Amino acid sequence: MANPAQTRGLLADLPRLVILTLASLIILAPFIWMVSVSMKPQSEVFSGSLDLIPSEFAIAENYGKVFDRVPVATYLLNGVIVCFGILIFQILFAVPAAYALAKLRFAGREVLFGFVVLGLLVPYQTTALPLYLGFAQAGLLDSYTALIAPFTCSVFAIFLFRQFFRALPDDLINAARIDGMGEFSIVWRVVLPNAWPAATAFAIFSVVAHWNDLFWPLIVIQTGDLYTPAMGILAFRSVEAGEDYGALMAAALLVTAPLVIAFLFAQRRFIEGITMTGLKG
Amino acid sequence: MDGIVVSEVSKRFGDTQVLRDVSLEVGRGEFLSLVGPSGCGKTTLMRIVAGLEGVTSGTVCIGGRDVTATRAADRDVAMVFQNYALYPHLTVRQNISVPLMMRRLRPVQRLPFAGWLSPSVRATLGAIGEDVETAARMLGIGALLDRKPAHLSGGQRQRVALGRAIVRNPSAFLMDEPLSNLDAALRVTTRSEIVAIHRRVGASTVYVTHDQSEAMTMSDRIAVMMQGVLLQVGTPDEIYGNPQDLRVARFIGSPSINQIAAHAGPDGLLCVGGVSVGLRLEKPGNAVLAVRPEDLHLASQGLAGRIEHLEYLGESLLAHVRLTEGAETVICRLSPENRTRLRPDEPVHLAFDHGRALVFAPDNRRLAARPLPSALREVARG
Repeated sequence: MANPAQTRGLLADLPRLVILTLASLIILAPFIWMVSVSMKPQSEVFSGSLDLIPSEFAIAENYGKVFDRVPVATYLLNGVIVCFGILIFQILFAVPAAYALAKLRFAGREVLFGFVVLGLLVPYQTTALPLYLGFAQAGLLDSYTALIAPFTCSVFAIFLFRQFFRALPDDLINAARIDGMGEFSIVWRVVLPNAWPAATAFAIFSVVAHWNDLFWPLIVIQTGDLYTPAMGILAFRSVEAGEDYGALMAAALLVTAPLVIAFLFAQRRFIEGITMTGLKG
Repeated sequence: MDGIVVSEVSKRFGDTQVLRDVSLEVGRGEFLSLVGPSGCGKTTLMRIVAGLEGVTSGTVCIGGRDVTATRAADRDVAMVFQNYALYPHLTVRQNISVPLMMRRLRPVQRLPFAGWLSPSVRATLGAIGEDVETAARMLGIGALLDRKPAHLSGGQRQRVALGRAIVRNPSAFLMDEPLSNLDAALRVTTRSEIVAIHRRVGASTVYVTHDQSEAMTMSDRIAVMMQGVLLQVGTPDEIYGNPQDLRVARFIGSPSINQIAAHAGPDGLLCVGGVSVGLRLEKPGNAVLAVRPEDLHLASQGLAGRIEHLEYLGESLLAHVRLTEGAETVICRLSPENRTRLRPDEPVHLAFDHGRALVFAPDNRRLAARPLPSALREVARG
């Protein structure tokens, strides 16, 4: 009995599936190509044919070159330290601020929130120069602090969490107050644990943005030991004079892989977070 | 007095005056219901007692201590919310233990691994665990302790909310329409359970409800509120039988009290449509005669009317009677045997017990009404 219905369902879904598959292929194509090139020997990269599967595998050679010439592990570790440093401080500052804006009544709350929204409109390149001068004067250039500190207060995080917290029932917070919690306990023990979808969504936005960021690290970092993954690829390319695409793609793949894996793990929560915060288009 | 004392509390939100000079005392261990239609300010008053809302003027004392400026966390009150407000991310056991953890452990002792490091913290956690088990057994939710609220039914959630409130023996117990999200059958059983728990715990209790039958069945005393004003406070008996305001009389009782427009002549005799009803007022003027449905009965003489509609309820029969004098329809609770005798459209006469009839002024105030001696009544009728 269920069979005809199922077939009809599949038929009805078919056009949708075809379109989605094509669209995802278009988006995935550069990544697929990257994986393919990272496995090809130099000679094959420049051949005229568009073979996905190389006739001759050069995996060991390409990846070996990457690990040989640049300290990939250091770059990845730097990426992890910087991204998680930024994320922890962002949550530490944004969650209480968002809670206050969403649930506490005080004079000037709307004005403050207006400033937050205004902050969303300022591109971070605008503030790069004054920040650079500030760090230079403080003698903090070329350090983890210079990489992390400018991003610790995220207006986007405040905005996102505030929208999410507003949907939490007031009585939940009142119950916590009656149970004897102070406002800080409420933020960390009640509000944040119930805002995991928003936190996951934000974590992905934040980590992706800072993992891939090239602009700011390029400004403040000189020492090779502090290079972030994106800078690492840049360094590898200049070391390699930009010719060896097989190895370059291998490096790019190594840098991208952690993000892709992390996203696959967090995918469900990420989508939940986006839909629940009303950020979807 | 060491219960809850609310003195001359007023509250305004912007331009809206929500509470006007409300004064109320709840004795130690007393169960007081706050009833009124929605929007009358009863929930605001409770939230002020809880410390979730500040006052515009007035004071609140709990257990002999002025707590007007004290935050909710330090007031030693427990509250059950209408939607239960359980912590969705915690199990039932953790939900019930939260108030104990917050009170018996210092902030540093509440850190995740403190129990491993300090024997005293471990001892306190053990005691908390036992108290939670005791409370859960008392409420019959012992088997649910490791579930999350999302996996509980409405009635079970309600019990967990009760458990979280009683577990720490608060000095005052506040309940905001705790039964309104339950189905009708469960509401009736939970009603008596709450009364039993109150008797066992013995804390001063304020119970907010818009359901007058809950207020009548559960309370030691009832406070009726309307439009931010406390109209009357009294035992269920007083509120039902001796209301001091027409709005109180109308709100309590189901079907609600019959209201008949009446007029007192220069001699003070109260007449409905020109016919005396055997009551004398102190002053002439318009008035409202209010009689409970069960105080009306069929008679050979009295208020004439015609049966419009009959409702058979099993234990009684409700007759809707349109009066000939005046335009009102009154409801009369009759014994079920009358069902075979009465038919719609039948003309009837209604009489009432004069000792139980209530008379109100047009501004809702209660008026004193003396029944005429029966001899005199006959004369008046003649």
